[in-house]
Amino acid sequence: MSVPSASIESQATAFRECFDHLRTEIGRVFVGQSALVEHLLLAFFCEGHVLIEGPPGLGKTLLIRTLSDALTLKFSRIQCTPDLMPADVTGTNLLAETPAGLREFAFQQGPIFANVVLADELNRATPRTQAAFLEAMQEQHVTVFGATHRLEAPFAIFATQNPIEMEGTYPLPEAQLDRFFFKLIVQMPDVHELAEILARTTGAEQPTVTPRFGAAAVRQMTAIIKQVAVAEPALQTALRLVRATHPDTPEAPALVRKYVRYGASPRAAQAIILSAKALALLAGRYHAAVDDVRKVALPALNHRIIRNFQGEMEQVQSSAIVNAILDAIGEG
Amino acid sequence: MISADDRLIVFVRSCRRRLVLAAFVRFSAYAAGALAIVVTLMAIWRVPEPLFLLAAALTVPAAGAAAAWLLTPTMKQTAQLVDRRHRLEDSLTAALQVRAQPSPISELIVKQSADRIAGVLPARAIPLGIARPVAAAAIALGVAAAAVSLPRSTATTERRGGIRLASNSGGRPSPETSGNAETSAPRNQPSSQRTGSPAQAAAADAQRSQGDSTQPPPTDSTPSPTADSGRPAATEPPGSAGAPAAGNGRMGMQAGTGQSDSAPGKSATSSSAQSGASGAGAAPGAGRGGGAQAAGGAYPSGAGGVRQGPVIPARGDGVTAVAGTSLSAGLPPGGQRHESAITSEEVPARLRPYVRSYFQAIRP
Repeated sequence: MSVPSASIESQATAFRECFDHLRTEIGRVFVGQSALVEHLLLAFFCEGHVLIEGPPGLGKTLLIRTLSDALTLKFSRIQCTPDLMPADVTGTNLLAETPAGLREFAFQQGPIFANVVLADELNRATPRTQAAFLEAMQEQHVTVFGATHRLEAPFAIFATQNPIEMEGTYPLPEAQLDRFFFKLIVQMPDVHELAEILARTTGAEQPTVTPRFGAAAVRQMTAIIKQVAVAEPALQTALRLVRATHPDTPEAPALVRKYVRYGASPRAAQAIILSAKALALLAGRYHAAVDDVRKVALPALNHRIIRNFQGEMEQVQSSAIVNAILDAIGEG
Repeated sequence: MISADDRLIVFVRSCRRRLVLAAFVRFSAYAAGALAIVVTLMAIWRVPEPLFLLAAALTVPAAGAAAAWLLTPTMKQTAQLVDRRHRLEDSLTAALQVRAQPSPISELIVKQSADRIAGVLPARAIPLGIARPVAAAAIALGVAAAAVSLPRSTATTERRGGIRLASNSGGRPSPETSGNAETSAPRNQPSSQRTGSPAQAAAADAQRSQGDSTQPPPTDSTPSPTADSGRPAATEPPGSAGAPAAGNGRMGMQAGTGQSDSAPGKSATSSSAQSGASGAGAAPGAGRGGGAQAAGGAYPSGAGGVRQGPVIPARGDGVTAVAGTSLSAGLPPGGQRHESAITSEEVPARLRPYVRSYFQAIRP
């Protein structure tokens, strides 16, 4: 019995070490936004996909690129445009000649076959192409011409979208939004951070990242996160949180009843619990607590709350609704 | 060596015991406070019986025990409470939750939880927090105790006073003493009992005076009861003032009433004037003084002509002369009057010889 527990302890230590390594390495290139970085890494270790939203030029693409550089993982980038086709994402069968001189169709993998996929400006792709991501995101495999191709773990899609240029874009459908583990908002850096960005990027010396930890290490860490227990109050808090996002439930606060059309799905609860587990492990605990759940509630629920017409007209932010829910359910 | 699991269970159990104890004390205090309020309210009406107080006191711990039993938290609830109070990040709850499932991770959780509570004493983890309810209950009980003890002491004093005064007049309560006893007696006592007692006592007093002195037997009017009977007359309208006096068969009262009726222009029309005149009818000398007093209306009617009559000089107005003349035949002898005055406790002990000699001196 003592050997496995020692093994768990060592794996937990490795997880914290890896997390700290990534945080440090990303911090070399990407300035500030510590909460954003932490949530991004949490989602990555929980095998979740992340939607990053922010105005252009804030380093969204740089952040994802740095993450993949800090790990010895396969990285690919898909620049989404309206003429991007699903086959451009998943790959397709090409007629190829065998060494024996015969011709046959061979599957040519698309850019989605990678550990870390950056889908840049996903909302510029057509719905048909966006749908190509759905199966990959949920099932972690793609089906082309009837043949299913498994994606190698770890697999994470980091999609970005620009909230201000809506011309010629295709807003992501709710079904696809729900598949994102977290939705993270990139904030404008403050003066000090901006000065630091200028100092790092305009000098002769460019910051570099030291890669460490491969796919196997990441898979181990993902497994250890799932072993973490969840305290009953934390579980109850997560359930109440998710239920409170639905306007027709008794737990829903007034803001939800007034401005929300649809609440979060069970996937939201999964995301909350899984990321709370990772957070607990980072804190050196082997059980998730209520505080962990509360910390991850906003990124997990942000994109899963569908506002009604009144909410959109009055520009009620999802974050305000989530905060109201957190206030309503109290400390658990 | 105690395992982490055992340490955890011992800690949570002791915390739970403290919660039960705190609930017991708190609800006992609430019950004591409620009881104190009930006893205080009861004491306003009547002093509660000791047996009742004893039975009520027994309900206090019973109520506390019942509440503590009903509110006994489960181990899980106790763990959650301690977690919240000490910001243990649900450590105890999680440990209790997973300890039944043997796995490497649960072992780690229990160990971690036991380590976190190592520095926490149950007494610190669960403070009883009973100071305020206990203080409130103590104040309420103090008020109740005061309410119970205060009326009892007053009643005892009154009763004792009544007995002492009664013994002064040879074992019978004097008319005034009886009057005091009336005020302390329950209000639902019939009025006939209240008015009959002084009249009977006065009659007996008169008989005793008759036996003691060489004076002629008194007529049907007795000065002291007349003075006493002036009190109810004072509260009644002039027209009806004669009714109680007539009922008591007191001539002085009748005379007073008649005098008032006969000279309404000179005598005060108030009942005090009437009763003053009735006192004037008790003796010729006293009658003049009493009549003058009554005409002036300077003294309360209850004082009567017996006491103040000789002290205040007569002015000799027509009213008094008429009253004194008409009632002199029915006056009691001087010996009877001073004995009656002394018996009625209006005269301090040191002045009694003087009063006796005075009445002897003015005896007609």
